[in-house]
Amino acid sequence: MKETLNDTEVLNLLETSPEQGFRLIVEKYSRRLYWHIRRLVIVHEDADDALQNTFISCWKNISRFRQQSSIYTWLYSIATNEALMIIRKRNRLAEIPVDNLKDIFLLSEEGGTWFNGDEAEEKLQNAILTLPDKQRLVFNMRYYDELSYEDISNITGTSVGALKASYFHAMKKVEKYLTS
Amino acid sequence: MKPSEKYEKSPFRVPDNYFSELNDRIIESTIGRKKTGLTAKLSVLKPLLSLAAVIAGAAVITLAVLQLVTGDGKKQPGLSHEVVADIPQFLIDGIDMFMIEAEAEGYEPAIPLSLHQHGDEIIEYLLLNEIELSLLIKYLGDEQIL
Repeated sequence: MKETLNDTEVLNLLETSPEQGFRLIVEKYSRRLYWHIRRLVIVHEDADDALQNTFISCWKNISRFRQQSSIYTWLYSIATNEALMIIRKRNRLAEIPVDNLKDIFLLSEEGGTWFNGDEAEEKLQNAILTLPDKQRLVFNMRYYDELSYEDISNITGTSVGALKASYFHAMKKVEKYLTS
Repeated sequence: MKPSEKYEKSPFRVPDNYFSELNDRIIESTIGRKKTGLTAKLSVLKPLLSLAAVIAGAAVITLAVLQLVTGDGKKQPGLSHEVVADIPQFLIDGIDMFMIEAEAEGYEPAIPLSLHQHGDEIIEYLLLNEIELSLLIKYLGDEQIL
């Protein structure tokens, strides 16, 4: 029943009972945000860390949240930043951009433990990993999360037109990779 | 947001019971941490504790100096010799301890009184510093100093 509350009701609850309101946000968005982060960072442990950091940041800054954007686009932007930080840190450690599953698994302690895709799925993930960060973000948020361009624009701070172009190029690159 | 679970369709897996425990872990690391975290309480109290320590330190030093300046041999309540001994040396360095002790023992800072008591030492001092005795006697008049 609680998960049917809209943003305004959640925000009202945050004012009267911050902890209860925050619990509601966690229940409503944790799972979805996990998968958003996981597709970006690939490794489960990294995704878990980034998700925790996302909600810690959310809790610390919840009083500053204004209704200029919806709660979930705000959360998505925090989660995206956390995920990108992990990717950049990983690339720094590897000294080269890590753009395929095998290398990422080699760099992590858990390896490929939490991946059970077949050959085709592995190839699709590798194709997505070859995309530049922004195209990868747009591709995931459109293809998997089915977010609107307006929402993605709010999350990434990029214009809708630029996002459409990014998605178009991303699709072409993925298609090319898969057919090669 | 469209009601969809496509976002969960991926070749990635998670450990058993991960999602059933996830929300509790997040709450624990956010709300739970703030409510029960001793470090959070200490971080709030830290400036106050520092201020209290500075005030206490200043009070101890002030009392110690007052005891040295006005002391009459009686032990001041709440200030033992051990406490005075604990005062850092750098705080004492700037104080003329001989002057303080002299005043504490009731000496007048004037010279003549001590001249009577330590005549030999004074003469030795004057000789060593080549001060003309006759000139000194002239200034002192008829007073017997030898």
